[in-house]
Amino acid sequence: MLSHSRKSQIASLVMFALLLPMLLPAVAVARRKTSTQQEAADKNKKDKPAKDEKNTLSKQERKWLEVFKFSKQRYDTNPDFRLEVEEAYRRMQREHSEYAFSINSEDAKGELVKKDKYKVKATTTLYENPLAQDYVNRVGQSMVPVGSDKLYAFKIMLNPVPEARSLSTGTIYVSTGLLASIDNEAQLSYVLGHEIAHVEKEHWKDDVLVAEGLEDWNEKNRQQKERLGLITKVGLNIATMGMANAANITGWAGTMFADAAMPTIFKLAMPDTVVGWDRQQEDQADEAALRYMLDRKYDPREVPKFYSKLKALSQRDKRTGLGFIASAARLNEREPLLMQMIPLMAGSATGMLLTGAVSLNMKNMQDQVQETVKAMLPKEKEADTGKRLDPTANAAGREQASQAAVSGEYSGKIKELLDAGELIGSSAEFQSVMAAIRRDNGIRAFYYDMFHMARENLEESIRIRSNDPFAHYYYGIVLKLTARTLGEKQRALNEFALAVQYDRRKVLAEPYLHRALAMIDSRESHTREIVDNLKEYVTLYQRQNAGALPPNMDLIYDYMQDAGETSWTAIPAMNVSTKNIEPIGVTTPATAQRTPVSEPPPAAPVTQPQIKKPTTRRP
Amino acid sequence: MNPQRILFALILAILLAQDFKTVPSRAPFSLEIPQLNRSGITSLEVRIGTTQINTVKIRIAEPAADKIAYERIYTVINAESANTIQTVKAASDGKVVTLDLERHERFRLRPGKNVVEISAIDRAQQQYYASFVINAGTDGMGKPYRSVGPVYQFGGRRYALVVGVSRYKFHEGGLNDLEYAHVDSRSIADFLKTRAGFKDADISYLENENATVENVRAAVDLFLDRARENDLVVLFVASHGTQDPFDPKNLYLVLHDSKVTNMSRTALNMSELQTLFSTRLRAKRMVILIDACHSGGVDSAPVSGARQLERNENNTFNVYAEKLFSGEGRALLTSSDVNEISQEGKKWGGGHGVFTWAILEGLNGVADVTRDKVVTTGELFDFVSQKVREQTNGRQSPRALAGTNRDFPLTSVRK
Repeated sequence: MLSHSRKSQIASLVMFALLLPMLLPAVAVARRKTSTQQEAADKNKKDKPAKDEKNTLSKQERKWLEVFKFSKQRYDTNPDFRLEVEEAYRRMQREHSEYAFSINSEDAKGELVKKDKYKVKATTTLYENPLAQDYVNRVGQSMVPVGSDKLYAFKIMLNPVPEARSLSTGTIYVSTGLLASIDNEAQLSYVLGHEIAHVEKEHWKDDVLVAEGLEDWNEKNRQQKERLGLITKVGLNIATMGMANAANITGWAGTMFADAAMPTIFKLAMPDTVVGWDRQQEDQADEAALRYMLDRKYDPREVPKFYSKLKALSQRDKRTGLGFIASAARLNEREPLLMQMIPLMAGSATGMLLTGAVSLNMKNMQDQVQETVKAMLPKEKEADTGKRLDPTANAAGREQASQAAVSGEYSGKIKELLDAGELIGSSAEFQSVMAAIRRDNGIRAFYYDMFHMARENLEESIRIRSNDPFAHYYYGIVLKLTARTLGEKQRALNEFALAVQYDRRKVLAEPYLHRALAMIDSRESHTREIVDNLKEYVTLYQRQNAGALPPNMDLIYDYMQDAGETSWTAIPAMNVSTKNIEPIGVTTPATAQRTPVSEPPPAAPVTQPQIKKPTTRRP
Repeated sequence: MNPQRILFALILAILLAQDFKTVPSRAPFSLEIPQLNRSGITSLEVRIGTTQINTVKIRIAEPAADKIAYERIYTVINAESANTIQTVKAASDGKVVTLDLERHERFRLRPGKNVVEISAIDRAQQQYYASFVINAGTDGMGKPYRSVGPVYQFGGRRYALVVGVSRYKFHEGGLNDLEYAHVDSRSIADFLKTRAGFKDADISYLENENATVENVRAAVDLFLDRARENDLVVLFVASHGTQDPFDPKNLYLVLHDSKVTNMSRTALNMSELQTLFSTRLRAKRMVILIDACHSGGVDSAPVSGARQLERNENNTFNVYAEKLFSGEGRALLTSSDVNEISQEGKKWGGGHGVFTWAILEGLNGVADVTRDKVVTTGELFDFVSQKVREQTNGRQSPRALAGTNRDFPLTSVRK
């Protein structure tokens, strides 16, 4: 026991030493090394890891760091420059506000609404589910670090592309696509915490700072100006100017693809090729998010699982990979990083590494982890000397030491929470909200032809809330559309039947249409039922649409004609009476029998309720 | 003391403890009712004196808990998904699922038997399932039924499908023959013919060798085409019924040529029946009588290659059947409650299931509490529930769901 914990402690210290903000590439390199190279590396263990890290930073990254340092210094010393930065930052904030306003003020009617039978609402808008909005906002607010002087707002956008965005205004948008791929409240808290960290750490301001400082810096470094100016300026132009463009392009919100084509407006969606340096801010945000999570007793061991799930998602459907926290390449990197950070906090090295994740790529990941561990083990001896952890050593060493201390604290906290049984994974509220979000996102994904997502979302929605007629109905639609076998078609019909069973209010007209279609499809003739179901469909459709007939009414008449009903017509628009539509769930044999016989004049029940009551006994 | 020695002793102790520890049958799950200070419940049924319980917890023990992700845990209360009231926290000795029963009205405990089910899937796709019956209060009976309105005069035709299977072709998987199921079905068919105004041609009767899956399907098809809107359809089944242990909403009627080892192919899936009824049946009135949980029933249903169902798992067939067939115009009576066995024996009319015996008694006129010479659905259901309970000393209590059909006349009483 003792020896084991000590070993893991040492291992964690060593590992953490490697896991500084810039450690990602280091790990990547370590992983790439062949065993022979590793042996060679072992012999050179006096080489400072810091040097390793420096070497593995891309040129762009190093340049960005240089520019950043330069600009920061200039910002601190030069009041003019400082004013310029402040001004540019304010400008950008205003643009963000305008963007937020345009989203907030958009209503369903302002969009490209195609009002067909599926009630498609095509654009990126806020998700109209106050309960869900409240919930996400509440979780978000609870994640804001105590004592923060910033104000935040958390909002859900109806968009199947998984993404989260933060604006410098403190607004944080999460898409339903992202929410639907989040498994539990712990993961949600992480996503929100990550976005909070960007705002909290003023990363937007850093961007502006660098953008402003770039020109001055270029003057100072004439040799590099040609190359860097060309590359970085393109990126920064997009980063800062894209905003204005976005506000002007009105058709922009029309499709999610257009949305994805403008990723540079947002902190987290910059193309890797242009702004590789962005990962540093991301790493900082990751680290902070984990801390916020623990403060709120959420289980941080869920984070790697979340990334591995996202990765699996984006591998299956490239569209879902757009937009979120970064590119697919980044996803690949970030997961192992977190895999390493979390076991450190949990206090047991390899055990946790191997059990901490669920993934389609489980094997792959285990290999990665093992390689990583292998790569790190030889350096244990080095840590044994305690030299690099000396608090009086250089700045980098001190930073490492403090990091290690923090990670020690985490580990204690996690244990404490586990012992108290208080480490939160998932909550009832989360599941309740998720039943609706998964359903609605599933529906929307269906309209984007993202069938896998649609099917999974709807399936899950039904699993966690079985009495939702809409979820059953749409699940039936997806099943029916994608069905290949008779069994699948049967299941679809089953779902329609369930939809009808749970739809006590009778607001769903479409299941009746699908029933009729299924009967037309079957070889037996059920002409009467076909007609009945079609009539029911039309009646309910009209009740839901202010008397309007279904858009494909001529076809419905077609079907009826084939089934032998040649004269029935639906009365279109306005003057549709609802009086013959039976109230739901209260039909008794008695009333069913009586209504046609003794239909009173419409005024009677109103004028003489007292007289009528006694004669009609309660059924 | 030498720490190494302590460690050694500790390991030894753990090993020994594991050797002698009996594996709990409901592993890795155990039920807790914090309000009553009860925990570690692994029995099939727990009896409590009240329905006023606000929280129920299910503990998932290690090592399984560590492999089960928060989101792969699904709970069901009384056949409705309860995930929307479920919170999961991690502890050092496992995961704890808390069900907040007061969060939604539909999850409050009902008087009588309540079923709490939990299923989970771990990283290796291994499935876990357990069900707990919480018997809240001793009396599950509602108020006795009193008719308030005039009985609806029935003018339509009556159709019946009567199925009774005592003999089974395949006995693998612990499928036993029954003694009186075919006697039950025969008596019911006779009664319907001679006393209840069903025409000979309108009764489809399938017994033992005739009651194959194919024949039952064909008979159902027949009704779908013949019964009209204002007609009545009665379905009576006496046989084994069972469910997919990991997906309990999948109910199967075990018929003469069904194989318990391959239920999905050879038994009749009840949701298939349900779909047929709801999509194609024109008749608005349907009375379903199911006597399908016979003693000596399927005691170990093998599951799709994964593992054997524990022999002592709760039987929740009835609660799901009720869910499945509930709906407008449907009246459903099943022979027993959750976790109960339907009894049969000589003492009931010379050899009957107690359930069928009570139905026959009731239809014969004993159930006519209003003395209007008509036995209604409501009257019959109340009578059968009460009678069966009486006869079995409360060990078997039929579940009745008359819905909106309480005043529907089943037979007229001849004196």
